[in-house]
Amino acid sequence: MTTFRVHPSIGFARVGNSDEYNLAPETMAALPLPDGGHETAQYAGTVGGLPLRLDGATITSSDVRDSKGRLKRQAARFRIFAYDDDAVGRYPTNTGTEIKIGSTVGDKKVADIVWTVHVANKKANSYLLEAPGTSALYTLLQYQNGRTPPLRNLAEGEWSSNPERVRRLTIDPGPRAITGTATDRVDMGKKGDASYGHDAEIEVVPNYPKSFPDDRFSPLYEPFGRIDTLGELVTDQDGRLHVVAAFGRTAAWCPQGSSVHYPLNSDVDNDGWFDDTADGPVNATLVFTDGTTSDVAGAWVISTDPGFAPQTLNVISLWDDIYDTWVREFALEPDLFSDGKFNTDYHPDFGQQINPIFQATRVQRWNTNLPEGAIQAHEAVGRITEDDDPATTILAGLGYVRNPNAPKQHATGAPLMPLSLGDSGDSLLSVSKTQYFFLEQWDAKRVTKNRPPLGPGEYLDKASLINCLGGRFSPGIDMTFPVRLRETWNDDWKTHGPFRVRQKVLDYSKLPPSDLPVLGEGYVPYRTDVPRHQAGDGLEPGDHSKFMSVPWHTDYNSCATHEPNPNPPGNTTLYWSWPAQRPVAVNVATDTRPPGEGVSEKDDQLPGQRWSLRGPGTNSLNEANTGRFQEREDIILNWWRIGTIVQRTQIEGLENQDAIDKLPSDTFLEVASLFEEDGTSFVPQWPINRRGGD
Amino acid sequence: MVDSLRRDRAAVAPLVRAPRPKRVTHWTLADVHAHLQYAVNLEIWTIPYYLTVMYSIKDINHPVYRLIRSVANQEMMHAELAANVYNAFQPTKRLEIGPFNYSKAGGVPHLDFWLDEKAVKKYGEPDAQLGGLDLVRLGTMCLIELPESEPPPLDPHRDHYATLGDFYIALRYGMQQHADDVRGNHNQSDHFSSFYRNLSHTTVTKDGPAGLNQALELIDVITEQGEGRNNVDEDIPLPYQNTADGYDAADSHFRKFNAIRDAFLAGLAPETYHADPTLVGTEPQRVLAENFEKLTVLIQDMFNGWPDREPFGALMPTVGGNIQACWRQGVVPEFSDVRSGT
Repeated sequence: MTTFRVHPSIGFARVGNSDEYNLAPETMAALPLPDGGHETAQYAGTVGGLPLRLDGATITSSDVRDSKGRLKRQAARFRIFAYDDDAVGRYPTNTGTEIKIGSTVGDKKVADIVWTVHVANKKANSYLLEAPGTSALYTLLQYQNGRTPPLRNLAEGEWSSNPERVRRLTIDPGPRAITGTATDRVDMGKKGDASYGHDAEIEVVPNYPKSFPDDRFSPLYEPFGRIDTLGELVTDQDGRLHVVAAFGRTAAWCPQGSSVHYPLNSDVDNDGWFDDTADGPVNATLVFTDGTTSDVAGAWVISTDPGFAPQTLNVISLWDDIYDTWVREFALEPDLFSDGKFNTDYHPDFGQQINPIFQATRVQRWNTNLPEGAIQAHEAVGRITEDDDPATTILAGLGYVRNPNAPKQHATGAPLMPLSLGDSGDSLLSVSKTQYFFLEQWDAKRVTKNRPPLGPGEYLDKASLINCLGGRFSPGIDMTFPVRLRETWNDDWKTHGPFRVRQKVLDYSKLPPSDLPVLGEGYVPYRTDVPRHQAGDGLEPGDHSKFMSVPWHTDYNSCATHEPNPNPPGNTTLYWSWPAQRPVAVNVATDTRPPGEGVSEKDDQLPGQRWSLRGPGTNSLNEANTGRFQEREDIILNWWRIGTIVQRTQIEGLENQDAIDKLPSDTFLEVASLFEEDGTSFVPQWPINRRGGD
Repeated sequence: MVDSLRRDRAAVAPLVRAPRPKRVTHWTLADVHAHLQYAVNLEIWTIPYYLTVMYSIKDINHPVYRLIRSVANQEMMHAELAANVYNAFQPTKRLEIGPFNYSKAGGVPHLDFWLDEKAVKKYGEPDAQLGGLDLVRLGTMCLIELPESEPPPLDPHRDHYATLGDFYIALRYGMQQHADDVRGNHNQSDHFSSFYRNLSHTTVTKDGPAGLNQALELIDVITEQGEGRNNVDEDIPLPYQNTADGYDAADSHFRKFNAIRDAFLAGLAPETYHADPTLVGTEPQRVLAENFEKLTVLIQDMFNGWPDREPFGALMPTVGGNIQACWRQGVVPEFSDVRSGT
């Protein structure tokens, strides 16, 4: 019997303010392309992580914005893969065949695919991320022993499951279905009816109790227009699904008795505000020409902030966090981890399991203001090959790698790496325990280069997650701390495949009475007493993104550089928050000079770095506050102006293109920024320090 | 904030501690050059010695490890500052880095601890041989960073001093006789200013007496961070404290090493690697020696204003990894292909 699974298991759509969209990257940032890149990369040497145009080519600098200068949105593309019996029950399978419309499975031919997606935004009915006095604590501690942090929007009621509160504070368009053969887009918005796939048919649910901000709040402050959609669905000629994100809009309502909307008083918890990011399940049914159908193991989609540095790999990516959880909680690979410990007989694959750490290290310089010496050290890490004796390399003995098994090292800065701020409750970042084990094995020369490549669907799972932020879940920007909890995952992975969110089954054929909401409060970590949400039920639409900032914009704005939290005594040094996802200091493509015009060999063509967030309203005399908008509302208005960092090989059509073309191919530069230059000088090299006072 | 820093600097600037002898001992410019050449090599000599002790400690987060690392980082800075001062005095010869000898017989270059028998009695017989964290090494480290004795000798032909403090006092004395020979912006290196945000300068940029004042302050940075003030147990002046990757940034090297030695005597020593001292010429030792040779050439080029042949930022930490690799593989780190004699 053949098993069918949707891949990637978790896909990421990203907001933009253009009607047009690109596809999410399906290769891994900073890493060689799986097929050598000859078909998809414009130039040899181009590494992975680039989004795709709808024609399948990797984007260039010309594809970041539309003809009106608006930032293109990004769609998560989902596909279906078939697995034979002998591949089920283990990971990785190293196999899998994509199933498209027209594909043959046994003696059957695929006639169509019915996709159902249900996304929602529950951020306003979630809990504070930074309750007073808790910002230096590990976030999940606040959910243990039956407790929760205080609710957001207490003015809307103190009972998180109160249906009226849920309805007011949840954006829910209901499910939307689309067939693989459809030619029209399906809006996940206020207009149109909810619908879902039922075997080979699409059932329409005209009475679904949709909920949008303007249904219950008036007036609303909507600087980019009404939040009337959470995105849209499109299918291509092969029946693959594109889940396109919404437009990065926000809406703020007014406190009772006031005609002035709520202010943005927090970086992550803003009462009175909505954004239009979302998340939820993606399910599919295969329809064969003989009229029969087959179920497909479903996936999950997250829509979140734009990817402004798609080729910069996080040293600890979302993949590393999730894989670590699966390895240690689900016995995903028993030869790697079993009986509570790692097995030193396991030889990790250099290319697949170790090199990503090294390449991530190498590319951090393009989003941060690392000093020259540190850049040289980072590049030396990136040059380590599978043939090098570890003892002869810069990482011999792992003397510069922060050990996740030694908690005290979280408070130690340079030279321990990564040189970024830590997870909630930790001052500085460390690699995952699985990553550290891999490094230890490498250091002990217990590695291989012969592990077979992942199957194509498995590769998509990993590529999707590795391009996102992990490690620092305070709260992060793509997904956050619930991914570390076993209860959020479908543990029947041997049937359905790993890394799949545990979906709560929603019966759309039986709507609740009296216009009550279909979605409830939903998943709460460790809780079993949430009404209409029992232990093991799984996650509802909106149950992942609700644990992140509302709106996301203010968190993005803030997360440039900070002091560690907790801050070691006497420390004023500032560290980067999540620079691979939120560039801090960038080399601007249009600053590039022809060779020989620099004042020194080191800055010959690249004169220096600028803040990614720059221009009027971003400067501060205190380096702890600069490189970001000083007024939070400015990021609400200007987020779409931020430039995107891409590899030199993908830059085209600029006035100084000749100079750019003379840079090494592994140079990454900012393009398509719409910020006005304000005459400020270049970014000082790290270390930088907080100055007294703001 | 800026005003308070200015006040702090003002408090430091008049620190000209060379005693006024009854009769002026004349230093030629060549004497100054020679002593600055000594200074650069002496500062660099300490780095392998200290790092060998540091990397013998297994816990890279142990306070002792972090204290020694903070000192070793500053020794690299001191070498650069000394080289900047050397280049400011219009040298006629290029700086020569090395060779470095780590043998009991060779001793610590330019220091003769037996000139201060009282100190040797307190800290024990010094030993310049490389080794792990032990009482002999810690005693030697304290002796190296010993503050000046009273009164320090000022003979320009002397090439060995009782303490590092004495050495720099003599050097300051000679430098002050050649204010007009100072020229700014000649082969100045700066790898550390961003780690010392409160320090006004790490290079000599001015000519003449103004340049001399800059040069003297660089010597002050070296001595204040290293030895501290004689017989005064007080913090390093704020402008001279590390603002990024230090550890107990207000403490001098002498104070740090004494604290470690006291902890060692109190039975609070961290766990260390053990090595067989008879093993020589092994692969990790060969790799270390090879990379250290590259590093010294690189430093020499850098201090003489020549283009980098290899990236310093990559090679320096690689040498650190090589030292640790030696300890982990049970051999004592060696910094040259030829085993130092005992």
